Amino acid sequence: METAPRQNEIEISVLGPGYGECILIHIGSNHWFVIDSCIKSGETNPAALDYFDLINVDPSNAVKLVIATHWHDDHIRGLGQIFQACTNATFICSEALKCDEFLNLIRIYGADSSIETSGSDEFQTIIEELKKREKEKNGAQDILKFAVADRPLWNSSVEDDIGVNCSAHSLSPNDSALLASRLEFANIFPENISYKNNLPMLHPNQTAVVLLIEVEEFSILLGADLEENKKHESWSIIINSKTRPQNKASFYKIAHHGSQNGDHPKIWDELLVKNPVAVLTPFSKGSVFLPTKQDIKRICSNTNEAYTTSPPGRKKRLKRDNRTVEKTIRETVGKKINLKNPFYGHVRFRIQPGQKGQVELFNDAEELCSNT
Amino acid sequence: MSLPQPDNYEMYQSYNDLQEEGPLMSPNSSLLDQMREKMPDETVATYMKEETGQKHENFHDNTTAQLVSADEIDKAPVYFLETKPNLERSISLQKWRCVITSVNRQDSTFIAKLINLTQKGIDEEAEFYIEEISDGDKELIAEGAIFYWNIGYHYSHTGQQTRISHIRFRRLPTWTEEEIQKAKDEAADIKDSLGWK
Amino acid sequence: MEIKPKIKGMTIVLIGDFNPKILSPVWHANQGLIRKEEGEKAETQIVHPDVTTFNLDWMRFQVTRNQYVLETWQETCEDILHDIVLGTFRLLRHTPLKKLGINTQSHFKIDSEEQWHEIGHKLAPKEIWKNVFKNPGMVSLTMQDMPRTDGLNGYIRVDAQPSTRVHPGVFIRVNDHYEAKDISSVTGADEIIDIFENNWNNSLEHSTNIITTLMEQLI
Repeated sequence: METAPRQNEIEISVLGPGYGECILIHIGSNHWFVIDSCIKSGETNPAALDYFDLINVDPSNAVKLVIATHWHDDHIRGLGQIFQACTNATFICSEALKCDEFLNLIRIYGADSSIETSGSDEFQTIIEELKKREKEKNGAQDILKFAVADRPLWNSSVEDDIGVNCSAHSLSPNDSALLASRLEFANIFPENISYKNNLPMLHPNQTAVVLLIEVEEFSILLGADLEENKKHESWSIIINSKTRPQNKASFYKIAHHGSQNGDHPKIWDELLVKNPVAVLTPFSKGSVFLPTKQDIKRICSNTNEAYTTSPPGRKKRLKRDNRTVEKTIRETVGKKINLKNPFYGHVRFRIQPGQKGQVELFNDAEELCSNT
Repeated sequence: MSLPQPDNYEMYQSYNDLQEEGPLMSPNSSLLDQMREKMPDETVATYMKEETGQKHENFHDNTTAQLVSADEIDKAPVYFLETKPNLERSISLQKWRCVITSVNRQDSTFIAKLINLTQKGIDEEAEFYIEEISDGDKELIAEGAIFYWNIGYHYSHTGQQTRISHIRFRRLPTWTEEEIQKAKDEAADIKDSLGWK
Repeated sequence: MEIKPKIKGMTIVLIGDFNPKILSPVWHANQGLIRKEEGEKAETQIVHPDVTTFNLDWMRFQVTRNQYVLETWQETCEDILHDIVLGTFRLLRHTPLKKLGINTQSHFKIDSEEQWHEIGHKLAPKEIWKNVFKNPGMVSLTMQDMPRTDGLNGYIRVDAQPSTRVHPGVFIRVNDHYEAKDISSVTGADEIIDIFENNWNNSLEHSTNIITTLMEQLI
């Protein structure tokens, strides 16, 4: 695990679940992108920074882009710390967040430390860091960009300093999602509630940023948490877009934990090569587990190179020494109590030009299709 | 008619200490008797008046800037009871601060993330029945609501030990107009400083 | 060996300028700081311009013109005290608050009278007192750490005494005391309430550590 990728080797590491999930991409020549963030249960350091430390990568120089595809803390825990460490990185987030309604939300929740884990702390930290860098800005470097459908976010070529042919595009959010999310932010602004509570998450996540990253001949599709339903045809809009890059991806970070809502049959036909490498991070809340058995079957019918960062559907209880506490918990909630994010894994894919890629599985990561 | 005030606060080890040291809590006379010395019956009677519906001029208290309405002055309840020591106590064996992540009204359940305050960093998730919640707190059940869950022992004033599972919702009043406007102003400043048009 | 107190209490004290008549149980319930039923059924001793005092089944409340005290001996309700203080003075932010005390008190049961005497001797060695007293015994010991290490005005004081609620027992109280930067020019509650909000968790942890460390060395 401890060896860094070679100079010309592409690496995609998917980490999670913890509080959030994280994707690290090495495009070559020690240049990295960080997408989202997670912190392992019981720890305080973001998993990305721990990994960089392990493979001797200095994030202050190496990381070029820090991208938030989500805005709620439970999905990007630790991203503020990462951005602070990546002093030369541009921060990218959804264009849907570039509105008064979202900023008002972040300020009102962020200013109140009586609501710990408010859901907006990470963006608070990122905004403070952006303000600091804006003051210190001494060159042409962009410190902040916004992602929207079919927008180029990054372009480098062999001839320039980076020395790698690479481009990154955002494929979402679309225009109607921008408007809808603005209305939703306004609706959850606390003028209409009685008590100070945590910031609720919005479902579906219309602000999600889907990314297509092309490194030389290799393309990577990161599906974020984008969902499709009758009201929000987010994937259909991407698939039908004539202005997006048309290359098919060989690596797919499966959208929305492999759920039915995060899927669209044409993703596999029109956005991906045949039998791509596909990775997901599972999700659980109460009795809801993603991916379900049907989801796994569906994914495995589209590729046999599917992986998960931890076993889907598996629960774990905390073992307690105190009998009184254990007995009382049973009497109050029965068996319906489990550890949050007890499993954590790392799926690492590396590929060199002209060679076959290799998948490595660490911690609780496993093959998704082995049991179907 | 002000009561003698201590210069600094004294901490009382037990109710008996409180009794001895505090002028309000003398064991030798009831609170009512003490108050009667200092407060004429006519004044006590004013607190017992029926609501008149009349509004006085705005009454600015000189220790705070809060307005006190006439009804509140007229209706302030004054009951004089014997002071009883509070010997009920409890010890917590396990504490969580919990955040509701979803509510299912059909099943009368809700799911909450449990932030473990006894073993930090080991968070859990549990499903609760709404009927476990005190009636006075049921109106607070909503996504994002915060509550405390404590498991421990309760001891009555006669020493009876009972195992308890104590759930109580957090009550922090909503943001004031002032706070909301301040947040909006700060958001506007952020927009300006980032050149975020 | 885990050392747990037999009785644990917490008291929050604020020194400032208050209007006791405002702070009735009904007011607390109307502002949503306590349950409606608690506001209606509180055991109210008095609501008066100079003093308000009432009890709930888990809490005692007393406010005079310049002292505000909230107390509970139910460890399960300590965070509720915090919320009431925070909620009250976010609403009444023009109340001048000058000082804050977060006080943790614990009574520990000791296995035997011999061990109890030994504890007293460890805290206050008797040798020099035997020259002036026939039978010296420790009644109370107070130690102070000042100035604070967090840069705020105030101090931390620890009192140790024989317990009057458990016998043989030891009582330890930690008084975590904060003061406004300039007491004479305080005009509102924000400074002290910000200190309260930002230091609550650390204060509880620190107080617990102090008590545990002391007891581990004494037993």
